Amino acid sequence: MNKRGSHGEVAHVEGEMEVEKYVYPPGTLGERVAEALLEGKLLGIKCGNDLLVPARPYCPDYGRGELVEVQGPWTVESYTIIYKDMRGERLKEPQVIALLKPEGAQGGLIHYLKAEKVFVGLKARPVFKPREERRGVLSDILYFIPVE
Amino acid sequence: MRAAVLGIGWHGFRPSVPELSFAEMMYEAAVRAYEDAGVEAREDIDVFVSCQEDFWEGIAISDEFAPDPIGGVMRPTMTVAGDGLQCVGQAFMMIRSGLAEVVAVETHAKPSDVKTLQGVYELALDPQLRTLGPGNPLFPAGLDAVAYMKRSGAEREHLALVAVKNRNRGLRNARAPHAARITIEDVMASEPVVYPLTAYEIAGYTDVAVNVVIASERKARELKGEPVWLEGIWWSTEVGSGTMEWHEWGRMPSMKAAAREAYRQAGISDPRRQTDFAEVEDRFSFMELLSLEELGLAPEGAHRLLEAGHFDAKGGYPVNPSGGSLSLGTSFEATGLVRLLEAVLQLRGKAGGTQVEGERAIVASWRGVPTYTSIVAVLSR
Amino acid sequence: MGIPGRYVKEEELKRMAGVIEYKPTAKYAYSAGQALSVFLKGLREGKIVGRTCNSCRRIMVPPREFCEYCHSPAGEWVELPGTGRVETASVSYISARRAKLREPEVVAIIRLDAPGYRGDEPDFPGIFHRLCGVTEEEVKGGKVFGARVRPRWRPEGERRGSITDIECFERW
Ligand SMILES: [Zn+2]
Repeated sequence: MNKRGSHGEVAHVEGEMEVEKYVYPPGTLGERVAEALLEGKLLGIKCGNDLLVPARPYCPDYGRGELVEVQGPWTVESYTIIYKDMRGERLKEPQVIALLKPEGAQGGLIHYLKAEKVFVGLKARPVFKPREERRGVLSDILYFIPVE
Repeated sequence: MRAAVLGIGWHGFRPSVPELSFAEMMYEAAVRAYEDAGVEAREDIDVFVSCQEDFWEGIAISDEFAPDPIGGVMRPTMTVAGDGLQCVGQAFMMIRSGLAEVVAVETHAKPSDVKTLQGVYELALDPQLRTLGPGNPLFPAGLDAVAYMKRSGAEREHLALVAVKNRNRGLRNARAPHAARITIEDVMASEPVVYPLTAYEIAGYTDVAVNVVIASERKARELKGEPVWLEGIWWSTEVGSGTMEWHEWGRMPSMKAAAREAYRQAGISDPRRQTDFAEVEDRFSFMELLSLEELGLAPEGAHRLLEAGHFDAKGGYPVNPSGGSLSLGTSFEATGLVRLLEAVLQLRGKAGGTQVEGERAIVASWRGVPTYTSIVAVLSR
Repeated sequence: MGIPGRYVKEEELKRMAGVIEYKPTAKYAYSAGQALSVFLKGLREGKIVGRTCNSCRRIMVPPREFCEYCHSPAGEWVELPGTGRVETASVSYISARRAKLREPEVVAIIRLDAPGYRGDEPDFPGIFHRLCGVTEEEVKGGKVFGARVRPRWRPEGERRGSITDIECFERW
């Protein structure tokens, strides 16, 4: 039931920012990154002496970089564990999310981590979806797991 | 020409203000700010600036709704998609350059109108990250918190102590709906939402509208109000923002850069000695400690000073005497203006139960997850 | 140096690697506020309620708590007869959700009859609504402009305190 204001009951109106969907194309460089993902390869961008991950169409100084394949192992730079959503409801399974930095790179990837013991400095590698399920996006990687 | 905060008004400060529309809240805050400054809305104000963001409003092209409630109809009115303090930065430039004598800055937030807050936050993430379907889009705060703890040596108890300090302090503040009488034990016994942060350490949401009148020194003297001088204000966004992975985890370079320039404007070389208290970012507990380091108000390892009570209201350097965002709540783009409001009331000696002594203060706000934009202001009596 | 890139057809976009499709979830419950709540309640009761500005005496429909021109609080509530004239009209061929309509819809701005108004003021109490019984041609030819109209109310039990409690405006 409506509450009262100075002039009687107050109402509210339901609404929505109604968008059918957004379609984000990868862009010319993104397409190459996406195609590499289909092959199970991860790319970064070489800007001068720096290797930046994930690859972007230009360097932070707007110079044009060069796409290169990124080699593991990946190191956990930071991590967090999501227990609850924004309404405070517990997730079915806690999600471990980590920032994983490849050897010699700046930046890294934010992704799920499946490990018994999670800590900063843990070495990990990506586990990809089966080839036919990949779509050239970040979720082509299922999660990262520790390397022995 | 020096710039002054000449008037400030607000309406709301409850988790939900169901009886007023956002426009009515804007009007109520505006009327109070103009009364406080002694200006006529339709005669004395040269420019109106509103900070807002469509998806927080739930209205596309919501800037069309900005002029009416604040007196800006058929007057120069502009909107900025950013925190309210960024709008204060616009006003500062207009005054300092001589473009305007009086500028009204407005920001409002009705988080209670947003039924799908998590959906709107998720929409702010890079589309690639959205493909992962993270269970809570506030996770970047967890990544920063863990990296900060690792670097600084702060323990979870120190983060909890920030929440305990601020939530308890807010009990003295009539504008703090999220204040609570809590202990370290309460925080530590609570299951994290996004590790290491528990619900006690994540600010709640507050409906509010804030309006600030910024005036030139000449106008401020003429109107005989209670000017609080805006000595400097600067904002900064990290290189590579939009590419969250490039962020320097456990640090906030945007705040460091904004502080450096705001201090330069204010002629401050040693903020710890040259300022008396600060209202700093604390929508997540660890952010207070991180902010203090980036602002040069504490050496690395700010938690040691926190433990010693240095940042208490009665300590050597009071931090968030208002109770901070942990008590006041966050209010989308109005969060920074809320913190400015608290600092202005302090400097006027009108902060009531939260009053601390001081001539000069720092206000530092961050635009929140998933942004890497920060704003720093220096104010004095 | 040109911009690197190429033209992509919509069909190709569907097969392209790396395309991300995303449907946002952004739902709201906007507080109608003090003044609009009175308006909505009025509609449920079959009334069109406006409000007068104490300074400039204009009547605002829908009502507001303040007059944006004077930036002062609004004053007396006034119930308007609901009758008026078509100020301007247009024909819509799609629904609010962009679906093609079987029958095009005529939408209009109605200049409401109100005390103290002559009918030629640039600022007037008005309503944006549908017109019924008006053809596409009458709009295109401009015949409907200035027509006298009145609200066709939904039956009392069906009104919900919404602008759609008025089914449409019709000529009389
Ligand atoms: Zn008026």
